[in-house]
Amino acid sequence: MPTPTLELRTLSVASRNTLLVDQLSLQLHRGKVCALVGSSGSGKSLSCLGMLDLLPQGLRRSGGELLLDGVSLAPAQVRGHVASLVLQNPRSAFNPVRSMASHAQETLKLRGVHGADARQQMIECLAAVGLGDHQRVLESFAFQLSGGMLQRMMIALALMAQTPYLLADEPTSDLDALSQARFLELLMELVEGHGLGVLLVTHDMGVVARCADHVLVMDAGRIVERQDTQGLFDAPASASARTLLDAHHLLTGGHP
Amino acid sequence: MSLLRVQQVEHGYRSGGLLGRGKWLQVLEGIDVQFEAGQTTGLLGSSGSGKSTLARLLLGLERPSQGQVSFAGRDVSRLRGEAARDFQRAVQLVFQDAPSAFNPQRSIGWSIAEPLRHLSTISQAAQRQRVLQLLEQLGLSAEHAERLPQQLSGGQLQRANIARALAISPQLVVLDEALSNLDRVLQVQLLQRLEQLRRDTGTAFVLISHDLSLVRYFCQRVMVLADGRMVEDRSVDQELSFQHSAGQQLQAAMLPSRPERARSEFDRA
Repeated sequence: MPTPTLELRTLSVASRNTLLVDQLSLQLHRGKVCALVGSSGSGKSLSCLGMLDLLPQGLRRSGGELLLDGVSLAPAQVRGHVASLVLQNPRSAFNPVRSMASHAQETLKLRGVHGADARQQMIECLAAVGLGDHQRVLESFAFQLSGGMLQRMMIALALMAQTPYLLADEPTSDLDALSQARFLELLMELVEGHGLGVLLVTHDMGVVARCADHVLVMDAGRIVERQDTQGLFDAPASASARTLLDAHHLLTGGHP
Repeated sequence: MSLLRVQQVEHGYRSGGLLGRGKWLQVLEGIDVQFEAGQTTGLLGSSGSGKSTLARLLLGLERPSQGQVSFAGRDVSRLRGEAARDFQRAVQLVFQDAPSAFNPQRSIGWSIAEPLRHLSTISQAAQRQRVLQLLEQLGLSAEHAERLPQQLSGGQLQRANIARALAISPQLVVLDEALSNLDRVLQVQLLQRLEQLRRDTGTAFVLISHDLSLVRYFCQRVMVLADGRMVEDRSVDQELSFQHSAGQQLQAAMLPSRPERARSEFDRA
């Protein structure tokens, strides 16, 4: 039996006069991590949002058919049910007039979990992302929590949704080194233990080295290289990949 | 020669406020360090370890509840008039959040020249010249001087932010997580430019970060803060190893430089 797969076909995103993502196709497999790397402004985040039809106003989406194990699904059927999304800037992702508990209830209700069960799952998911003081966090509103705490809350919500796939856009760039390590460990537990399939958007090749099975390199909206992770580190073919790897190797080895 | 001297410093904040007296929260305890001219020092610690509070004390933005920070033998939190201006000419600070550090209605060039207007007596033409030189040193171009902050990307704006701190040619620049929002490629480029500047002019840097790889790449000396105490102070060499668990944890949290073997073998199976 083939590995369960979520496939995206020829997604393009354009503003009024510029093509920002050009015919992106990719496949996510259960139990695997696919990294999408590239420099700032290469179209990584738009690809992530475009995949679930969540683009900001003024941008047009074309193509981008989603297939779950070969069956075509609308983006609205995918988001929250098949794939969760974790964004880079967590503050804007929360409703400012609702508490964290209310966000969590909404997510759990989608799966039909209520009452004491819901409470129990909230506590477990918060503990899993290192938000130990669950009482205080659940009572809080977004403005009362730090960026790092909100980021972890967002990941906790994705855990509560228990979707088989996760799209994560720079999930650790607002976290400190210890929280980042803890998050990546948790992510890999979910990938290896529960077969979570992940699209991981990042500019940090250390994160790629730690987690990814396959890598897509994006430059100016186009995929310029597709490789398995080992292959990319051994023999990067594109200039974009070499630039990212050079910076990475300098920071993990050399001196200026 | 030591530039800044921190002696027996303790500091804390009182939580709450309006109604009744809140709990006293101790942030720093028994801090005793010196920052040398021309040296790059990394100040490592996880969130909440007291790094930014120490930065504020170093700049005299707050007065420690015990002990003192001194510059040329004088308490930096009590400097006034020309002595305060001398201190500002010698020590500058860059914060993490560049967008909020610029006046949105003024051009980048105007903002970078601000320390020159307040702390130097050079002519307007010389100020313009200096701004162009700084932009070039940080990999920006003359046309960026005319733009407004919102017309620059995050990375460009942070470089302009650092250019402003360098404008008055200080002896010491404190970078408080100033590189954390940039991608790896930009971080390396910026550190190389700052290293060049240190070699050319002898400017000292304090790099406050939770990212051990940046400190190892850029700094000659590293200090680790944990729960408000300085638990480690050592020179940076190839086999950087820490005695204290806080440093060891940061080291263990470092991402691998190459894909991990176990996982790639698992793939091929």
